[in-house]
Formats: sequence, C-alpha cells, structure tokens
Amino acid sequence: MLLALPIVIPLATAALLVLLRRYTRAAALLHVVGSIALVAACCAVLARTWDGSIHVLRVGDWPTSVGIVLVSDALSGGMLVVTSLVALAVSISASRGIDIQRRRFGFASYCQLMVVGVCGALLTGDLFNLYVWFEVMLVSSFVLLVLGGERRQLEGAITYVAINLIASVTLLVAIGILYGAAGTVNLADLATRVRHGMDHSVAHVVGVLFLVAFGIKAALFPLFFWLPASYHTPPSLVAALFAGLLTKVGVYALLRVFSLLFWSGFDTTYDVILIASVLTMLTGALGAVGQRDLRPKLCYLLIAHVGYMTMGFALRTESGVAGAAFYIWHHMLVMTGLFMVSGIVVGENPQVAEARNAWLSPRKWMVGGAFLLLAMSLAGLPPSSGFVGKLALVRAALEVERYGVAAVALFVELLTLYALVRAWYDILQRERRKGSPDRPNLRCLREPAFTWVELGPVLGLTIASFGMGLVAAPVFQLAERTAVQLSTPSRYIGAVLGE
Amino acid sequence: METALAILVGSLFAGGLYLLLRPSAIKLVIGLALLSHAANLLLFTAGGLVRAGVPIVKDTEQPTQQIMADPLPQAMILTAIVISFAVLAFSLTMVCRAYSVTGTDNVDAITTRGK
Repeated sequence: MLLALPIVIPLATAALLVLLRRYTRAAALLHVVGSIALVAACCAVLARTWDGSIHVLRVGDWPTSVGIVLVSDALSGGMLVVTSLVALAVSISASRGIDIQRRRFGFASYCQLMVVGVCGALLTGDLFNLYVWFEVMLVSSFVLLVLGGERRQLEGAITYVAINLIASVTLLVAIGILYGAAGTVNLADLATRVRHGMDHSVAHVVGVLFLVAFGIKAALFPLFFWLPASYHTPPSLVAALFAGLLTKVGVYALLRVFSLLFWSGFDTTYDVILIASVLTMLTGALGAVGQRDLRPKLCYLLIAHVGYMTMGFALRTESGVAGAAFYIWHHMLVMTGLFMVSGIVVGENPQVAEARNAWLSPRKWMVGGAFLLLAMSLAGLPPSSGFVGKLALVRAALEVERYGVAAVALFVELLTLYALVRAWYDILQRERRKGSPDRPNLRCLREPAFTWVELGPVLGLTIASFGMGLVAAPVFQLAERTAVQLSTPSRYIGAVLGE
Repeated sequence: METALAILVGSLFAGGLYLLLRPSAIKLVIGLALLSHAANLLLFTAGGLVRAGVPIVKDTEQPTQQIMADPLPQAMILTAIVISFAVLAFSLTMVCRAYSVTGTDNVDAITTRGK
C-alpha cells in the first residue's frame, strides 16, 4: 500500500487543486500541504528500502506476469525523497514566484500532475507503464511550459514538444520490438528472457533505441539542443522544477532499464554512452562559459552535469554506479536551487529600479550568498555534496584506468566554477547600468523585491546540499547499496518474480 | 501480411519524418501524428498477426485448447492511441496559438526570432 502513496497523494492534491484554482490562497496552502504529505510518504518508502531490501506492490493483486508491479529499491527510494523535496521547495515559493494569472489557470495542479508522472516513472516495474508515466509527466510539462502564452514561451515550446514526442515514439517502438521478441513488458521478466535465449542482435537494436529515447530526455550529447532552446522561456520556478526533475528521470530510466536488460555483453553500447557523456560534459561546460545571460548559462550547466551521471554509470563498476546515484540526488537539489535563485534575481515581474542601490540589504546578501554556495556545490568544492559526488566519480574513473575521462571531469569542474563565479560577479557587480531580464543585477531590484517565501526554499535547498556533503556517509552508503542492487539484477528479479 | 505491414510502417515513418523537416508548423503536427500511428502499427505487428480465437477462457475449457490472439498489444495500442490523441490536441492548440501570436506558420521564423 505504502508504495502507491507517492502516486496517490499528488494525484489527489492535483484533483482538489483543479476545484480550488479560483481561490488562490486556499490553493497555495493546499499545494504546500500536499507537498509536505508527499515528502512524508516518500520518506516512509525510503525508510523501508534503506537497508537494501526491495519492496514490490502488485497493483490490483494481479499475478506479476499479467499485472503491473510497483517496485522500490534504494535508487528509487532516494530519488523519491529528493523529488518530493524539490516539489516542496517549488510549491512554497510558487505563491510569490508565479503570477496570479498563471495560478488561476491551475499552475499548482499541473505541478502536482507532473510530480505524479515522475513518481510513477520512478516506482514502476513495467516497461509500458514507464512509457505511460513518461507521457503523464510530459503532457503536464508541456502545459507548464506554455502556461501564460507569452511569445517566447511558444517559441521554446514548439521545439520542446516536437523533440519530446519523437523520444516518446522511439521509446514506444523499442517497447514494441522488445514485446514482439520476448512476449512481456515486465522488467524483471524481461531481464531473465533477455539473458536466456533472446536473439542478441535484436537486443542490441532495442538497446540503441532505448539509448536514443532516454538520451533525448536526459539531454545527452548530441541530443540536448532542445534544452537550452526551451528551459529559459517559462517562469524560473517552472524551469527550476524541470531542471530538478525531468532530465534526471531520463537518467534514472537509463540506469534502470540498462542495468536490468543490457548489463553484460553490450560493451559497444556502453562505450557509446561513455563517449557521449564525456562530450556532454565538455560541450555543456563550454556552452555555459560562452553564455553571458544567467538562465541560458544555467541550462548549459545542467546539461554538462548530466554527463557526470551517465559517465559514472557507463563505467559499469560498483563505485561508478554509486557515484552516479549520489550525483543524481545532489544535482536535483542544487540545480533547482540555482534556477530558483535566478528567479529571485531576475524578479518575475521585473520591478527594475532606475537608480541602483549602492548598498545591498541583508536579504540580498543572503541571495547572493546562497547563489555562491550552490555554485560551489555544483562545481564540486568541499564541503558540499558536489565534492563527494565528483570525488567518487573521478576515483571510479581512475580505478578502471580511464584517465582521459577523469581529466575531462576535472576540467569541466574548473569550467563550471569559472562560468558560475562570473555569473555571481554579474549579479552583484556595481557598474551595470540597468538590470534586464536576462542579465539581472541584485542591486537594481527595488526593495522589497522578494520575501522569505522565496528566500526560504532556496536556503533550505542550499542547506540540504551542504548537509549531504557534511554528513555524506549515510547517503553514500545508500548510493553503494544502489550500486550493489543495480549490478546484481538477480536481486531485483527475485524480489519481483517472487519466492 | 507482416511484410505488407512492415512496408506500411516504414512508409509512415518516412512520411512523418519528412513532414517534421518541413518548415510549416501544421505539417510538423501532422508529421508527429503519422509517427505515432507508425509506432502503434509497429506495436500491433510485433505482437504477432494470427487468425485466432478471442482470448476469453470459459471455466469449463482448458486455456490451451485453441490458439488465442494476444490481447496485450491491443490494450497497449489503445492506451498509446489515447495518449497520442491528447498530445495531438495539445500540439494543435499550441500551433494555433503560436500562429495567432506570431502571425506566421513557419517554424524557423517562430523559433529563431529571439536569437
């Protein structure tokens, strides 16, 4: 029963929010309450899977071979908790960060529906069901992207919609071919059949199709160009939610499907993933350095750091997968935080003062400080969570003597630091004439530009990131359990198929 | 029969991709629709084409007595059709809105104006 809660709670909240959308205050309160309930449910799921056990829920009590199963293990448990924290942070600042027009159109309910899709994708143990949850997530994200109907939103949305539908079709084709060859869509069942007696060439083709579909969603090189074209167009809070959840669900699906179905005997595919990861890191970081505007810069950094996760996974060692899992959790928190800061600094309804303030108020200093700390975490300076994650990944690369990969990872870290320190300087510097939406400046924001409602979640995410770095041992243990579970699929298969 | 359907699926994919590459936004939407039809047909073909009985087993007979059609691909296609219908409705609305805001149907003109 517990496993269904992360899907049921946001779904119920979304339904109530549709009814309450005209009463914006009540809706804002319900949005936060629903998100808190989701955090509680996700923590309960994680508490059960913390010791490395795998829990299975047969939906409708159908036997595994015909019904849909929900499965939670260490990886999905950890992802669920971080997802719910991201959703909570966004829900708290939504009452200020999103304008009244968008909230009347049901912004909060679409947020919750997207979280439903994400949680469903994280929990399901059925390939076709995964496709359905992806679609739930995508359609909600389409609506969130165009909500408001500004011209630049529509410009970004056409690219985003088209490329994501191509990814969905590719995924559906891969599932169809796999079903034709194996006769099931249950992941655990498929895992046994792919290992025993499935035509290897078919498996290779399907593997590449999955790689393309998940690669588009995760924004891997060379399939990431839709991301910088669209993520900077909606309100920053929407971008924060997207940046925290969407690409990471793509990475999660890649980890889950490839670790179960295509683990051994697919060396070429993993080499392709490794090369794509390295190029993702490099092109993303160079793109970020080349951008002067804040939000496009963050988009490129988001892409660059997706490369780290897939790089750790493509090494196919336990330390690499553990590093990747840790890095996913860290990255979801930090990226959401950075996009939320960009929302505060830009000022969604830009009340740009003509005369700049020479001195910054304490609150503005806090925003600047939070940005710097999050930037440190993303770049991987100690004692942040990014440091632990990158350390684990670089060590994993060195263990298998991939020195070039490790060197690129370190170089990209340097580029990230350079890009972000420059952005930090931009938002605080004195000599700017006037803030513009793309080149914001804290000094140009009229007081009171923002309140604790927006500042609180950002500080919370910053503290969570540094907490993950300072008390890294238990989190990293969870990541190590994830690695053990992913690299020995027999545990997952045994738990789902029973006995 | 499989060969004919394979050729049909292939031509649908080809047509869909061609339309996606056209500059017109409405052709983009039609292309996406063709692609989803192609995927659905592929799912249908991959499930196996047999002339067989309905997959309903009565209490009195053994399930193995006759060849039954596999109902699962059809259920999956039904789900996929519903989803693609919703997505199609969304894309049409979006393209319509983009046309009324920008005054053009050209995807390149719509998406590259800001750069």
